[in-house]
Amino acid sequence: MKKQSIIKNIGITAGIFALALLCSFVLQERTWKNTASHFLFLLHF
Amino acid sequence: MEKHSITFFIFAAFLISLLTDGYIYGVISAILGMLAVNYAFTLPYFQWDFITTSNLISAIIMVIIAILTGTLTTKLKEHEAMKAESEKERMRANLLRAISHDLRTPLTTIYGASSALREKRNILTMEQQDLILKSIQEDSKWLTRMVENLLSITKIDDGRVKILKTPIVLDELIDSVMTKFHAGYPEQEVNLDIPDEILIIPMDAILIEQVIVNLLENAVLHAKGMTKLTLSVFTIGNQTVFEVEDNGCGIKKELLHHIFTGCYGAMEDHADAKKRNAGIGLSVCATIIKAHGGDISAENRRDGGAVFRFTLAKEDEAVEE
Repeated sequence: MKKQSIIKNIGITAGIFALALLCSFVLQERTWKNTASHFLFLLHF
Repeated sequence: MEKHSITFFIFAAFLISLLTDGYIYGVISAILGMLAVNYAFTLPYFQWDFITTSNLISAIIMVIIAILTGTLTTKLKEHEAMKAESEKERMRANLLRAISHDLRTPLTTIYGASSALREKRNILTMEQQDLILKSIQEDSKWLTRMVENLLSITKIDDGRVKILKTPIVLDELIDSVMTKFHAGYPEQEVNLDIPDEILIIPMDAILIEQVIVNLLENAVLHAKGMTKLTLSVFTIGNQTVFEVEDNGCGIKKELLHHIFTGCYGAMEDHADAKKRNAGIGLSVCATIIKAHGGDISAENRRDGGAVFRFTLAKEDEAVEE
C-alpha cells in the first residue's frame, strides 16, 4: 500500500513537472513546431 | 520569458503539494524547477549560471516562494484532515453519551424494582411480585437488545456496515413504541394518525423504535406548554413519512441547524441534566435514519410547536451487507 502511494506521488510529481517544463518550452519557442525541433536537436546530441 | 517559466514551476510546485502526501515532493519539485529555469530559461541558455547576481537572486527567490507555497498547501491539507477527524470523534463521543443515557433508564427501573421486591417481599402479594419480576424481565430484555445494537450503531457511524433490515408491519411497530413510551410517561397522551392499510417497511425495528421513542420523549421534555402530542405516519410515493408533532414552545431558530449534530444539549441552558441528555438523543436518531437511507428534519409549525419528520423507503432499495 505504501509502495503504491509512493509510486502514485512520484507519478504525479513527474507528470506535473513535465507539463510545466513543456509549457515553458512552448512559451519560449513560441510554437509547438519550434519546440519539437528544439527537442529533436537536443536528442541529436 | 524567464518570469513565465518561474510562474509555471511555482504553480507546478503548488499543484504537486496539493496532490501528493507530505512536504517532500513539493520541495523536490521546487528545487528541480529552480534548476530547470536556471538551465533552460535564463541567459545564457542551456548552461548553469549561479554567478550572475540576477540569476542567483531569481533562483533563491523562486525556491523560497515554491517551498513556502508547497508547505503552506500541505499544512492546510493536514489541518483539514485533522478537523474532519476531530468532527468524527466528536460525533462518536456524542453517540456513546446518548446511548449511555438510553441504557441508564431501564437500569434505574431494574434497580428500583429489585430493591422494592427485596425490601417489601413480605408485604407484596404474589401477583404484585410477579408484576415486578415481569417488569425487570422486560427491561433486561430491552437492555440486551440495546447492547447488541450498540456495536452495530458505532459501526454505522464509521460507514463500514449497513444495518440489517427486516420487513416490519407498521401497526406492530407503533404498538411496541407506545408500550415503551407509556412505560416512561404513562400520563402523556399520544394522538395516533396512521394509515388504515397494512404497511410493511424494511427496517431494523429496535433502532427505529428507539428513534420514535426518542422523538416523543424529546417533545415531552422540551416542548414547554405542550397539550397535544401527535404521531402520524403517511406515505408519499415510495417513502413512508413519520411525523412527531407537538404544540409546545417550538425550537429556537439558532438551534434548528445544530439540532441533529449533538451540540443541541450543550447549547441549551437547561438546569435539568435529564433534559440536557435527552437533547443528545437526536444525534442518535439522525445516525440511525441516515443508516437506513432516509432523511430526518425538524421545523417549527406556523401555529406554534415543532415537527420532527423522518422518512424510510417502503421497499428496500439499498443492498444489504
